[in-house]
Amino acid sequence: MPRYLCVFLSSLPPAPHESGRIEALADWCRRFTPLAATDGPDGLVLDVAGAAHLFGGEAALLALIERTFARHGARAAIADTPEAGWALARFGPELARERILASGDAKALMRAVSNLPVAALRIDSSIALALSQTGLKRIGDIALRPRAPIAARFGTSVFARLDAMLGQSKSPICPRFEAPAYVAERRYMDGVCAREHIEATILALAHDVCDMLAKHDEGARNIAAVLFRVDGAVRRIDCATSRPQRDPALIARLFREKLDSIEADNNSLDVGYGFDLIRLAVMHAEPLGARQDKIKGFEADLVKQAQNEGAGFARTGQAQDALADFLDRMSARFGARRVLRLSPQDNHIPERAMILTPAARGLIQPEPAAPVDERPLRLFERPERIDAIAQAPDGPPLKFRWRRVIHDVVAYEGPERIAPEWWRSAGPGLTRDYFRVEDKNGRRFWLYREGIYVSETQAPRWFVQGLFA
Amino acid sequence: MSLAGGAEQISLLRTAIARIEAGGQADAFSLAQRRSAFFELAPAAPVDRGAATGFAMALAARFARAENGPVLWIAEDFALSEWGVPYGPGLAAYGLGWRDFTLMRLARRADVWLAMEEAIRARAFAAIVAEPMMLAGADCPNLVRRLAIGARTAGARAILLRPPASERLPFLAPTPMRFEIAARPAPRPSAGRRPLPGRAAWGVRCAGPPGSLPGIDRDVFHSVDLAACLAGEDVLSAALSLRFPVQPSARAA
Repeated sequence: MPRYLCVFLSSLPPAPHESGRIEALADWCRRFTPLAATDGPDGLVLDVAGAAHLFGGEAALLALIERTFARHGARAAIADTPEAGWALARFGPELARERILASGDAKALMRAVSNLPVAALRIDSSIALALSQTGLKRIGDIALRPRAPIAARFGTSVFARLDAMLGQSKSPICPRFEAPAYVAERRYMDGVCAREHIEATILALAHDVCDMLAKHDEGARNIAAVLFRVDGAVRRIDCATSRPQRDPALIARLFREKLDSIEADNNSLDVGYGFDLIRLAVMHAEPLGARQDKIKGFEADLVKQAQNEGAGFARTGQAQDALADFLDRMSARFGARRVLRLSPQDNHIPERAMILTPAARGLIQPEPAAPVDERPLRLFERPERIDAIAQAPDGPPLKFRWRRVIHDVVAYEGPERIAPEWWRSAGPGLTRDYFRVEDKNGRRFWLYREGIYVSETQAPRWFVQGLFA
Repeated sequence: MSLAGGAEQISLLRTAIARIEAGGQADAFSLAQRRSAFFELAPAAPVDRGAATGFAMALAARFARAENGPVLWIAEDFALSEWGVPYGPGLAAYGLGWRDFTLMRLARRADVWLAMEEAIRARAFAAIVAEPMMLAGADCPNLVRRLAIGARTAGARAILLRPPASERLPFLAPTPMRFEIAARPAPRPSAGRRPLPGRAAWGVRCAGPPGSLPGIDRDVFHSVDLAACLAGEDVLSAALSLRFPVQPSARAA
């Protein structure tokens, strides 16, 4: 049975800085449960099922949260549905213990909400006012009446909300972050400030999550380290791996790279007064085939032996592991969008025939067929405009000027006509005639003329799009 | 070191040099190739960047084929914006598959050096190509020497594709594998009366320290074509056309 803890912050000031925003408060609440969500501009909702006992029970947890957010005028409630929790937090009794509804007790739930005003249904204010004017001032007034006349007059939203409140229809919350597959965490009485202590904690947590992963024959693909600062700020560091990973040392090394990059970018970790909670969460795990986990010292000996024997890259047998580890570390250090694979696309427009995808995703597409026509070795991200002279407006180029250097064309191949994608809704663009040209010094370029003379344009333009060796 | 010790060293060096000279050019190159896994390539002129890229790619493709491993291309953002991104469909001419190629595009030059050093240590790639946009005083010879020593120690093949060599930007490390690359016209097929562009060909000038590659004229460009570079077992002999007719030609403009 799910249990929702809803918090109403009656005096949340406009947030001039990041840490004051409602999202930051929701992130801070993730120390209690990974399923924390914002609920409008002044509310939070936490799914505390199975988590409340870790903090002394529901009453203690509710008191802790109200005490923590006291300066924001916090009132909290716990119920089986987020709608009931929302209503009780805003319109419920003053005594906190009366705002905790027993789990699975539908009658108690009905009793608790029946005295609340209809505005507690979170319906439009005009509908709530109209209901009040007709004498239906409390939820109990409409809960026992025939539905059809009220729905006909005030719309179906009234009973949709009522059903959600009473648990007769589902009303899911939308957590800020997905629930992790595996979590390990360490709490400290005093904040941890030193970088080496943070790294040691992450290594210890990596051992914990890897043990959990091993029990399920899984490996981590996405891992997040969440650092909760004592003053409420939360820092989240994400790492991805190119293959399922279950090596604690490697996971710890990925985060070390990430911390290095944070420091290198002058974007200091800002430990403040320290982190009192460090959590390592495996956000996404995949089955890991049967493999021998590393035996301490054994693998290093193998590599050393291979090196001593002068074994080449392919003979060491560690090449695939070394490649994946390198890609993961570099992705952690510089960002996944900096370590890329070339991925073919089913598109005949040259600049769209290839995209760059993060190598850490691990998706390797099948090798495409070799192109029929020769293609350049380098392709400009944006074709560069050139001045070209041709025998005729629709003829091949005789000479062109690119980057202030004039090139005399002594040989060419073309045109290779590439039509625009006329089926796209955006403007289809102009037809391109591609030429592979060579100047008198042997430099080879890939040029195109944009637009068919007369039928598409009166003044075709020339571009250089690529370089051959 | 005592005077006697110094004399011993000189004697040893003379013996080694005599052995190299007696062994002929091929042995000298093999020795150089074994000892150095670090290549420094520079286009002869800015517009020869495409040619230099092709030569670097040909070397990398050869290493990839010999060791059945992937190629890593590390480039600064600015270099890719200025000279284009390695294009997947164009790799086929070099025998490289899309899967064999990994590209790192980094924001800063310092990141390029860091990634290159890590890649060399990782022993995960058959060839590593680094392409910074510019070189500055910070990229001191010591840094490149460090990479060269790292490559030799790890048995990695690393290629530094640098900006054009000039008086202001001399070659950085005393490695024997330093080449200046220029585009060269190749034999052109024809379609009727009209000539078609030829295949990739380069003029390669050896720019290593004097005596680093004995028997090679350091003042001229030697013609090398793609087929020669991709064929054979010995990269250097192919690169310098030792197994093909050497056609010295004037330095490219």
